[in-house]
Amino acid sequence: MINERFFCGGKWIGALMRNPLVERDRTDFADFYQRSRDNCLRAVLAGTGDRALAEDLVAEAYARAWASWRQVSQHPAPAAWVVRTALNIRVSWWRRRRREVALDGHERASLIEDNLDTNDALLAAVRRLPQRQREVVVLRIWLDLDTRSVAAVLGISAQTVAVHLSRATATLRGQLAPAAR
Amino acid sequence: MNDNEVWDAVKQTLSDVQMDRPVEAIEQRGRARRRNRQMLGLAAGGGVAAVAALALALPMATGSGTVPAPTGPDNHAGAASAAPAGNIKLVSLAANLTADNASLPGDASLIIEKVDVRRGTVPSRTRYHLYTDSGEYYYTEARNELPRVIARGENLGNGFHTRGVAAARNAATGDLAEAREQMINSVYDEGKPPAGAEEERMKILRQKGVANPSPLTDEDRERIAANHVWVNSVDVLSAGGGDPKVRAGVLRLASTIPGVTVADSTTGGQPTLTITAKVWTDATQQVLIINAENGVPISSMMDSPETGTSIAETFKVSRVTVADVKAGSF
Repeated sequence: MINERFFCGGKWIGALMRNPLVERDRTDFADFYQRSRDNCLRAVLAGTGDRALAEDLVAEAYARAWASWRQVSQHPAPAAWVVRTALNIRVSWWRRRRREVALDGHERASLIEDNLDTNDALLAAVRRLPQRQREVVVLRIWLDLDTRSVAAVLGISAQTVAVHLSRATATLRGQLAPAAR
Repeated sequence: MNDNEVWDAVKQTLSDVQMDRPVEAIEQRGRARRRNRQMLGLAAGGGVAAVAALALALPMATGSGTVPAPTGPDNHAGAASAAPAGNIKLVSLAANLTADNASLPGDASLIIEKVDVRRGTVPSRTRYHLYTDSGEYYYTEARNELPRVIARGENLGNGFHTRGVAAARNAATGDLAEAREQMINSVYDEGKPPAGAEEERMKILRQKGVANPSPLTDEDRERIAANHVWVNSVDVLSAGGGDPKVRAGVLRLASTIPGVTVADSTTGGQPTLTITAKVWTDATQQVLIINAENGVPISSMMDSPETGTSIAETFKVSRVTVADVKAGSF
């Protein structure tokens, strides 16, 4: 049955009407997108290394956020939802690709090629971090989430977050120029 | 080097990276996903979730305000005057406002809107809208950001409010029927509806599985027109809320809508008019409270029982100068 709110006697009336509730959602989403898009892209790029891929992943994640905005808007950290979704889409994409073609080093080549903008040792070090440490770093540094929020997003304890963050920070500190230590 | 310095150094590595994709492209893709999900639901024969709302989309939603419930002997939504009496109240107030020829201070209307969305746990928030008389529109949710938004030239005005304000002014002193058409069409680029809208509606219905969709009747079109007059007018009441002639025009336009009733009320000790609009196909209704003497919007409550959503808003409307706001003096 098609939703009767919009569909009456074979006519599509409701959808032709203006509904401030719908428009309010759109305003909220546009504002959220405006405020968070750069940091989400940076967070995903830090995790993937491929600028074009990262932008596609983030765009797809935002599209999914908009498709389910009423739920996502109630998430304690909607930007973190976008980043995690983008990274999950990447995993799905890579798994599909792995089924379709033999491992050919394509993704790794892409990482190297994309180093034009991000070829400093520090960013490379972020990408070499173990996955959980990298997720914690991305959420903490680029999305400015506190330890408790990062824990909630990743479904782990705040103490575990602190441990991951501490180890990651020690690794990253080691990558900074000796003079800066 | 402490932890914060390490994190700052890491953050700096991507500080010049920006996401350039426009929000419209994101929303288009999101709508397509929602439609696909809908189609899958239909194909599976399961209960269909909410249909993707294809209502006319605007870059901003303003203008409804709801808040403290009115009190006093006339304070029941069900006790609204019959439509003709309601119309008289609106037309009478509009006439008083039209007669006000005092010069308008400032060069912009500032609307501070407090919003409380009752749907799950969405927190209350305050929005700052600045509508300049020249048609620019600046918006932010942080008071101290407003001067910066202006300084950066982040004008979100797209002509809609300019056209809507013009329609309201015309309604105040000119041909009401013409102004009504103007207001209905104010949401469209260049103030006229796009070609092929009906064909697009048919196409969407066929995608939804309706083999032979019925064309719209005159009655349908009138209901849609009433919806657009109301919603657009309420938006304009915010955008031009600092100008009595704009308020007068909005009230005259609202007086032409059959689904609108008006009741006397008292809110916070001041005489108010409680305007109730039922201009949707479901049980959604909006209750707008305005000052009974000057028509300034005070609050709005929008309820949609079917979605379990309600939005309560209060407004503070003032005339300001852009220069003052830019300087942080507001």
